[in-house]
Amino acid sequence: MNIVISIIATFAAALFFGMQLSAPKRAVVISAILGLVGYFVFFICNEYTDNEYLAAFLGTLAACFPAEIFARIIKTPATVIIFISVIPLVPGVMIYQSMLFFAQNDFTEGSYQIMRTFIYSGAMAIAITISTILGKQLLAPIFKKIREKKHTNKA
Amino acid sequence: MFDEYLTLSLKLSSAMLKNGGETYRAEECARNILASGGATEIEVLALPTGLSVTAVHEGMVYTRVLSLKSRDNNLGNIDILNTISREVSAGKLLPAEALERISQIDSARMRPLIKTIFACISAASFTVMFGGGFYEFAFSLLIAFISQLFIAFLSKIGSLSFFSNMGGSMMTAVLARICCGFFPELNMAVIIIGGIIPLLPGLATINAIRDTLYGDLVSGAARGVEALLSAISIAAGIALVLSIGGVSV
Repeated sequence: MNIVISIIATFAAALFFGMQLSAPKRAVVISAILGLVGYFVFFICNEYTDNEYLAAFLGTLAACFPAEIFARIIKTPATVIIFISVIPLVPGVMIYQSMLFFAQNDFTEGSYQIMRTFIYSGAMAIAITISTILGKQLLAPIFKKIREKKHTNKA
Repeated sequence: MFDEYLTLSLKLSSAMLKNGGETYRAEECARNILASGGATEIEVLALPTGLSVTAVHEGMVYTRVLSLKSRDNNLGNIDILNTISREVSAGKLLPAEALERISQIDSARMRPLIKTIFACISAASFTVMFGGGFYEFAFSLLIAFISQLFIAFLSKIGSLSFFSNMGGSMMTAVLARICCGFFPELNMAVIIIGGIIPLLPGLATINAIRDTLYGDLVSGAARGVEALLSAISIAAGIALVLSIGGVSV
């Protein structure tokens, strides 16, 4: 039951976040589903490997690389989808915890938490970087070929 | 005739930058439109704070410069502008019609109240996602509604986004502490976390990475600093409120 509730909550959070930023209707559901996929991958990796940085990396990659593909299919900028699909992975808990420790004057624990946040965000950034490079170098030529094929078929 | 293409390219690229599009996309849109207008030599330089376009058409050199101050995140507008640019460079849309459609974008914005309600539901869903129950959901909905109105008010009086984001995170933390003072069984952490996640600068970070990868180093660095400052101001707002009067977790 708990799992069902958290799946619905994650999906709703991403969906309404996208709608708040008035994302195009054809992109918002796909982005929310990708957000769910990314969070699911993150959750599984975190559970089995106990390495949150690796989990963040794989989760972001699972949310971003399909976003590059879908962006080219529905012809919308990839940022529109990526922005919504990575939102469940944003390290809000870590930021809150580090600020809590700073507010309690516990600077040792606070700086430990803030470094954790930095490395976690760095892992997400690397995943976004890799999916962008893959989209630019790998997907762009493939989709160009498909489009040319369509043109020749029409003619 | 070529003047229209020049105006369109400038308007479209600046709108793209204003709504949070990537720098390379803004440059590419301007370049495609000018090329479809028959320009031979085209140079476009887009920065987060300005835009300059130079084109040679029938032996004449045209240059236009535009400075940008306010920036916003609106994914729907990015998509619409991208479609317009595609259609113009494919020759399906005349520049005059395209200019008309760009000017309609601002008037056809979503009603602020609906936007606020969506933001509240999103924040409350994040609260549930991080382990909140039904009561946390309800309180988060209420708190997010008030802080969204506060953010809208702050961004009206002071245009800096750091300022309004910091105010929003402080408001969320203050209200969460007040509610938890009255109802001690509430989980304050998840309410605050749910409230701040939609404020964190996700789009600025993603764009900073993508700009840097596409070679727009100035834009990448500027947007990276913007994202960092924004995140720090949100975190500082929470730390300030939590430190007042001691924290009991």
